[in-house]
Amino acid sequence: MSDLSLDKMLDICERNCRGMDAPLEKRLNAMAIDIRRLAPQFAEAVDRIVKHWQDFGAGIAAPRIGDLMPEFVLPDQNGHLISLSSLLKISDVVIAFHRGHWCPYCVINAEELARITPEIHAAGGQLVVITPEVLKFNRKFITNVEAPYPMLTDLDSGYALDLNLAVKITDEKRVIMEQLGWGISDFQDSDNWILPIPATFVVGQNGIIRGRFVDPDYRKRMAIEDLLAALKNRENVKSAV
Amino acid sequence: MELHQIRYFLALSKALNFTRAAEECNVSQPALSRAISQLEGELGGELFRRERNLTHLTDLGQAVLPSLKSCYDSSLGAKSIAKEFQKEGHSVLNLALSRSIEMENLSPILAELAAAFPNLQVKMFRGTPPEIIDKLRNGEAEVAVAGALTGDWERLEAKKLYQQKFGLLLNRNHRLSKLDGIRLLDLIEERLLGRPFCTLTELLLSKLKEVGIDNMTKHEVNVIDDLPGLVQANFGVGVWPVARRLSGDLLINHVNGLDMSRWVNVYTVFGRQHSGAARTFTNLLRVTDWSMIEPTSKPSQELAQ
Repeated sequence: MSDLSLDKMLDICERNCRGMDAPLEKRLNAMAIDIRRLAPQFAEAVDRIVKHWQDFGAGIAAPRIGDLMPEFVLPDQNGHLISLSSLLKISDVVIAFHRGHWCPYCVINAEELARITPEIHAAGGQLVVITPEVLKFNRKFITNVEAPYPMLTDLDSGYALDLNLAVKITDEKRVIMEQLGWGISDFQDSDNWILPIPATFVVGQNGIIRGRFVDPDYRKRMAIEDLLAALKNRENVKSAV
Repeated sequence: MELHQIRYFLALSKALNFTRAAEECNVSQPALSRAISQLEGELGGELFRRERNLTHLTDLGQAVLPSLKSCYDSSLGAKSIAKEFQKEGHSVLNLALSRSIEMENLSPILAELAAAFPNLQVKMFRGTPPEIIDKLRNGEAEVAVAGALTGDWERLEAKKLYQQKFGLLLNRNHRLSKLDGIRLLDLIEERLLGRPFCTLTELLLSKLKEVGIDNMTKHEVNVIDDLPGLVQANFGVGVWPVARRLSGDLLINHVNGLDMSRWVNVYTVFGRQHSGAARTFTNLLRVTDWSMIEPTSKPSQELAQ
């Protein structure tokens, strides 16, 4: 495997982790371990940037449980505008921010979300994923993970910044990402090199957040059981408001 | 990064004075300084060189300014869109288009926009590049969709949308229509139908000049839809966007070794306040997958049905 390029090796890891019969957390972790084994320098760069973001409290100021989720109006993968308020008229909403179709952790996470979409519906909710990527790449993402849920484009990460979820990619990380073929400028139609922290929110029909997961360590995502628990836990919210 | 940090950063990058920036942002100076320091920490270096009377952006500050400004504008835009979306309020979109832009490329987006802003009023103008720049400059147009708008106005903000390919429009019984691509020298006896300000016509003429053809008869046709009738009558050969619908006994052939294509961009004016409708329109243009709509490459002989 050593004569393969890093991007090819990561592809193989991603496929292996996607095929694992294990909870989301285990699969994400397996991906991180694989990357560390195959590309220790890359993994160290990731450690550094994640620690840096954590040191500076990236994501801390994101909306909290009990806060009103700000309204959004964003295009879905077909170019139709979707607003949070129109979704809330139908049911509670799970909003998951993803970095993009190229990110292996997002792929593993989005695929798991696709698998549990029936459970989300059964629990009286619906799911939308928000990425900073243009329609073409959101469609690619949807096809790759067979997502039965819509993916919305947050162009230039404006909504993410509004939620204090935007992070800027350093030049060090940018060089590595470009080498891996992750030229996000094309994916985002933007040279900003800004990504959202991949957060998850569970929003009740009253617009109030009752589940929240925010971690600048993008290798970690909201556990599925926490997500479903927050969705089902309608009683506690009223007291939180 | 936090929204307020970016707001303070942008204010300070303009004012270059902590006291004044703090006043503009309605915060105390220590609060502004603290937010800037936090942002500097997260971005990994100083954004401002603090000198008495001479505060200025560092190289890093300069480097991150455009992306932070773009992200911040997008955030303001997201808020104004959310505020106007499906509300009763009146919204206006003044749009300037160059003449060869296909309306069918824009109409689905306009339909989406009309659903989002029920009281939307669109005013559309088609014109030459100088006319479009004028409209943008004097505020009569908020958004423009056009090929390259050349000029020295630095406030024009362009985003690439798609590549528009051009070929030569020929009558089906024309001697050049049977060829698999046309050589420049084949055009020696032809009359060319071009449009004023059409960069592709100019490109073709300059290439012809390079091979010694500098006295080709050139007709100027202002309205693109007048070309097919003229070509049909064998009045000449026309410069024509390959994706544009054709009727009649016409076809498009390409010129060998000559890339007759140009980028179509969406233009706005830097620093202007944009309505929710205008922002939504620009955003929808940018997110659209144009490869589904505008063919990126065409076979040499594209037969009109």
